[in-house]
Amino acid sequence: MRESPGSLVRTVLLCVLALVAVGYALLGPRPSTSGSDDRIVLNYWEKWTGTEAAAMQRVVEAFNASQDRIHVNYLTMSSIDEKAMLSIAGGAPPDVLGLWSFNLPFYAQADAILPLDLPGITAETYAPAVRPLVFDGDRQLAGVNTCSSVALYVNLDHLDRAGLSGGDGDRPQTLEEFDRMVGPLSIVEHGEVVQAGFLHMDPGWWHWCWPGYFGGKLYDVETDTATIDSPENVEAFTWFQRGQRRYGRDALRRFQSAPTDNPSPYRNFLTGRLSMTIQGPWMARVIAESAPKLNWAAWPLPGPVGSPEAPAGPIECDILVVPRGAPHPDEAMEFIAFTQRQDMVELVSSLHAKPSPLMEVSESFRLEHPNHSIAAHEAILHSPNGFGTPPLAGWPELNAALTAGVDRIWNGDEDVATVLAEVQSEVEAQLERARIRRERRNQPRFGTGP
Amino acid sequence: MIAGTGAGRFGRAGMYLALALCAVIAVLPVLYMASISLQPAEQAMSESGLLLPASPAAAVRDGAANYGSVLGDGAVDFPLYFRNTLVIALLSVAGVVVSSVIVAYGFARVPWRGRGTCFLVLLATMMIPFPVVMVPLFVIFRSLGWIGTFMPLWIPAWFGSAFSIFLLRQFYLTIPRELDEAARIDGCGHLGILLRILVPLSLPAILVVALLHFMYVWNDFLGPLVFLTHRDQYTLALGLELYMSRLGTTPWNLLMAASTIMVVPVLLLFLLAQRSFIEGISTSGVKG
Amino acid sequence: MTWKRTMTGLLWISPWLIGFACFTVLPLVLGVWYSMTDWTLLEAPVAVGMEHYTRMLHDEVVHAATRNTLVYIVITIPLLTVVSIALAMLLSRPARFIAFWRVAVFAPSVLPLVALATIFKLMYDGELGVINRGLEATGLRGPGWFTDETWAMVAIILMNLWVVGPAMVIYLASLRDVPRDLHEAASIDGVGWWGRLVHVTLPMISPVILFNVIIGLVNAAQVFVVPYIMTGGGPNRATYFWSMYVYDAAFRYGDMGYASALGVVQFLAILLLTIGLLLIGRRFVFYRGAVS
Repeated sequence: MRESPGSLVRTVLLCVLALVAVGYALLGPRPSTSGSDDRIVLNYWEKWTGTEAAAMQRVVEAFNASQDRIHVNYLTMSSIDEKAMLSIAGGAPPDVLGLWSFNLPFYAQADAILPLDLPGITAETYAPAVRPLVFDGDRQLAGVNTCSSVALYVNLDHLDRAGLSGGDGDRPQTLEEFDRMVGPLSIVEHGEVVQAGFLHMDPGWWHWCWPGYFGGKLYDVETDTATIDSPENVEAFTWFQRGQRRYGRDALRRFQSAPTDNPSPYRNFLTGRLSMTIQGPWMARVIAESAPKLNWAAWPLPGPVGSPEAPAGPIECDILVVPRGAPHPDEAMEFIAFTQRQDMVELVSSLHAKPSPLMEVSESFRLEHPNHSIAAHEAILHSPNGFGTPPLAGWPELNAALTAGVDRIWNGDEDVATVLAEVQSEVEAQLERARIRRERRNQPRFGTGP
Repeated sequence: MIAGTGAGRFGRAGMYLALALCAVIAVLPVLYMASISLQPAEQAMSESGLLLPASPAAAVRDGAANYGSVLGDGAVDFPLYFRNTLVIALLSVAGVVVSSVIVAYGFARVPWRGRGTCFLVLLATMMIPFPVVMVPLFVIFRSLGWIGTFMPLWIPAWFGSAFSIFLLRQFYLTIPRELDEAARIDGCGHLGILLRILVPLSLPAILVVALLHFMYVWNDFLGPLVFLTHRDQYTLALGLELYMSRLGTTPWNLLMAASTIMVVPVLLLFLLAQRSFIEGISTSGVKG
Repeated sequence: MTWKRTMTGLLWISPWLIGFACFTVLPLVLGVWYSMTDWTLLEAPVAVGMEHYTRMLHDEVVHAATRNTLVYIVITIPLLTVVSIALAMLLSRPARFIAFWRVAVFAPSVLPLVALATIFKLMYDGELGVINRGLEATGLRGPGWFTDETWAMVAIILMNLWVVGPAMVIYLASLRDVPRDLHEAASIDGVGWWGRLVHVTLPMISPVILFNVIIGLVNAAQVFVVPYIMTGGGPNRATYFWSMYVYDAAFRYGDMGYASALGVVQFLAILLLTIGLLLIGRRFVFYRGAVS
């Protein structure tokens, strides 16, 4: 290569850069060698990031400070699925694993988690809706990190402006009343949505929940059959499709073409372009961070099923399990038992702005709660009409089939019953496959075992 | 040179116009990233905040806050992740360059039976979908005691990467054989030909291999995710992921600040390396 | 003599051969075996023969994923080839501030794909995104990029234009080796720039074009991160690609056996397409270094 002054400068610069890089690699910050004493190290993997992870960090620190036998090494990552499954399959799992309640049937059915024996804790310790999500009969399979129920978040200023006073006494009691409210709140000009009253697909996380408000189910546990195209579900999704037709497809496509994850799904609500939306209790935190001036309240969404005293709504839990092959199962259960203490549960729930999953709730938890409408979430959580995802190992696959169908119902002009019938047959095939697979390994279906 | 004869001033103006247009379009997402990293959280997602910071003063203030918060975050130790990534990247790049330079020679210059088949097998290794081999790999690394160390992330690089071997082979093949023959007459063996002829002449390609592999390791997410087990071992890509949330809120401004920090070293590297791609042509550019 | 030559060749490629034996052969053999088992990943696999392969024939999701992946490959590869060669030629010319132009064009490719996809997600936003606002300024009404089945695919394909950096750099390095005297001789003969491009430049860099096309195929056929982050495969599976199904089957549906079968088919399909490209390449690729 021809040597020129330029290439000499470059060579020198490259060498300096390489030296700096090597120097940093050799002399840069070193990992802190914490836990170098004789304590048993528990590996705990959690799926949270950011402030949610930091909340759990405080419980971990409290546990580590509480005794001198065990040290918890807390590892957070937002993509936990591959890592968790690979490590269990590869025989090197952590001691404690943070999952979602909808994962539990799959892990439990595959015998990949150990039943918990937590002193002083029974099913009655938890709110009724939480129990089936972490217990299989009498066996406790998971501890509860946090739980949440989904409520209707309302922009009270919009209601005032539209002449719908937003006082608690005026909240809609029936679906008809609710639908009548949406009309005056929806403004469409020149084919563009200026303000939307309510959108069933915004943010699109709980598209499986609508049947629950109409008394419908997606899956029947007793008979192990799909009930996607039941009359209740057709009714629910017909109502859902009407929500789209109110604004028109093309206008909505632009209005809703926001990133499918957060915080932008909230964005229309936070920027005052959407009057009402269903959301989880953490919405209070999001509003406080991003739109502190918003005047809001959360109510249960009324439906044909449920009443003001016993409202309907979806319920989810974040859970803690001990995977099969965990090196220190006894210590892991000790840690989980610690996290289930009322003060710890309330600490994490409060930092997450969620309701407590326990039956016993302290007065100060409610008084100091960052979500001023936490009562609405608690009402759904303690209501007999609260519902979770079906206890089905194949739920993610069922959900994927349903999502594609819901997209068609929302985006197209297709007939609801026809679409649901197609989803039904796809899901029936899934369930049939699951049956064959269970028979192959002589495995009881989740929830029907000994 | 490639620019047409007689195109003259008009041609050059057109060229600068094209350069400017391409540069602006290309750099738009990068500027957007930088812009969001200089905005406060609530602006980063509001209607007005999607383009630019409110004012230069605000940009300095919020930028300082965001970058300060990323670099000083108690839960996300970026300086440490930076070092970890650098260690892995240096070891890995060195391995890939040394091994690929050698292996590519075997595919380009040594005639032997079965070379074509072997080459196809080499190419085929790039086409294996990762999920299919993930579990066996995990088991192999576990039995070697490598899980929870950096080793799965750099030792395989010392056995060459199909991409780099393929690329270098293609470059070796563009170098005329007559040069080999001349060297052979001078008494060079295979090693001599490789070191005296092919390596100097394909230096830009080797630089490209090093650069692209560095980028790959720098940004690799899945490998560190699967094989590392302690937060003190995290790499930048894993650290970046800690700013992305599936529920709750993604702090866009911090995520973009972290991304910017991650990108700067690679851009610097490219800036220094890119000049070697031009020399062959620029020296002749005055003619034409 | 042949024997000695073969030994020499094997010796030269031995680093790769050892790595291949340790880290590829065994996992791949096991992967093929898994594809013939029913395996939840969490329990021991149970042999089921070719069941997964026959299931694929009737799987609607496989059909959608195949269609989407083929569309994506067929559009992306020519697009990327033309754009990256054009950019490399533009950036290989002597110009003021050439380092600046190159860094600018290369910059987006340096970003972690996850970050770039996230940025584009914000830019594609239907109403507030930079792209639709820009279109609005010119009087056009932008589409709902992620809510419309066709536009969602277009959005994912277009994003590739910002990651041409690696291919472009490889072309840049190869253009450096195009002999000047050939260009000069052609100019003297009165050949225009198009003629010189087609008859001088492209043949001289053809080995590198073949390389980039094959790498482009391998990458396009395994596209995953961008659609996973931008659209999650929707709406209505319009951007659901083959690799996403492999991933979902393995880690979300607990069906590693089926995922492996999908992966094996994907592998064979890419291999066949590559062999096809190599055969075509034989006719069009000019290896100066191969002449003996």
